[in-house]
Amino acid sequence: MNEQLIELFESYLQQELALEAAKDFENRLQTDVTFKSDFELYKSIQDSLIYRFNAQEKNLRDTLRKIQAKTSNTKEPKVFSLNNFRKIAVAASVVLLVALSVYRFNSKPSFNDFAQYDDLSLVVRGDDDTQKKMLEKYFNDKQFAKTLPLFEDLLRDNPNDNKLLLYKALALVETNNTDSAFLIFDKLIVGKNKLYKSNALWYKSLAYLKVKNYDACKETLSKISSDSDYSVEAKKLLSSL
Amino acid sequence: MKPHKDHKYIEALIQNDSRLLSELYQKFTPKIIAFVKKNSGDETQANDLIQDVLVTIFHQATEKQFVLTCPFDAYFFLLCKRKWFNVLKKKSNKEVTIEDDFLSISEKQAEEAIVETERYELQSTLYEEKFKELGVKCQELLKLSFVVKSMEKVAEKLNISYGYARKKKSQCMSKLTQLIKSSTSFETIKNY
Repeated sequence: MNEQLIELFESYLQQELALEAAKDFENRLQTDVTFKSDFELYKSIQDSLIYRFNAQEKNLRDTLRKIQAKTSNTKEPKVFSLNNFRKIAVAASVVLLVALSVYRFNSKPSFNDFAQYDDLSLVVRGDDDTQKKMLEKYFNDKQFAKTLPLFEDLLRDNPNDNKLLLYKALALVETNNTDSAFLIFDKLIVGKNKLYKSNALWYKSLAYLKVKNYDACKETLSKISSDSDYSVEAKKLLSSL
Repeated sequence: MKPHKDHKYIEALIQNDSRLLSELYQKFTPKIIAFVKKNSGDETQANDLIQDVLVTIFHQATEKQFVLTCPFDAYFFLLCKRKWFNVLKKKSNKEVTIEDDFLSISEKQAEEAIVETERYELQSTLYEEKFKELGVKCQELLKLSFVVKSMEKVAEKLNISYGYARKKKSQCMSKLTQLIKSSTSFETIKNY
């Protein structure tokens, strides 16, 4: 395609042609096959490259990479041949029976059954605090190890921020630093704020559950008052221990 | 044509909806990973393949308003499978054929959509490759004109006159169309 032709395409696409000239252009599209296919190719190249250079592809790839990282440990389904199917079915039911009976004797609830957090949200609208934003992102993506230095930094300025303290403790539990977490929980439990007190009691019991200290877990659970948001969950957990 | 109910996965790609995309991964990718592993690949290669195919579908959907009219499973699996065979083919320089006899019925239904996506991918890869063959100045100006759209602003940013910017754009696009038209894959795509 020569430059003159492209100039013409551009003028048409930018709607710069006078009415008459635009009509001529459209007529030519109807009658001149080469003209039409050139115009279509030109548009197709332009459209394609426009999409190549916008930022959305990068965003999508980021999302996909995150999901991949999360799912990569999941087991792939095995493919069995039909001949083996009966044998496998029998074997599977035996395994299931054994598993069930083991499960009945060994059915202590686990930390993961109960540990569910609300998303951490620190940034208020209009606030452009990158450190807080990063912290939110890491925490909500469950990259807990990365949150710890950020918690330290932010708490240096606001050492009594209950929310930061609570979430830091959660991150500590997740990264198996339960001892440090207990110190924070205890601080919140003796504090004045009722909401954080009940949160701290609940998550402290879950931390005990994680380290399999069931007695301490029970004791902490029993301190959760009946008007706490966690009282139902706490009773459920207590009865299964 | 009426969209299939699985078109929601195409929408999820457009919207970058991580919840639905996670569902897509859980439902459809284990089979693909198993397939790649069985055919001299590993999990990382499988994941790269999956990501590339999804990005192609995403581009096709945003640019061409692609509508899925068949089940996603068959469409996605066969796309990945054929792309993987192409990767192997390139590596070994040997002819790898896919036996069409083994296509299931649902895969046959998906064939039309697959051909469309493959054609789209060939085309956009060709455009991108040829774009990269242009001189740096051309690439810079065109890229800017695609992102910024208004040629007045492009001229301003590059500190050149509007007339010159337009002239340059025509020159660069003319060069690009020539490169594309004279390439061998251009004909292949036409007849795909």
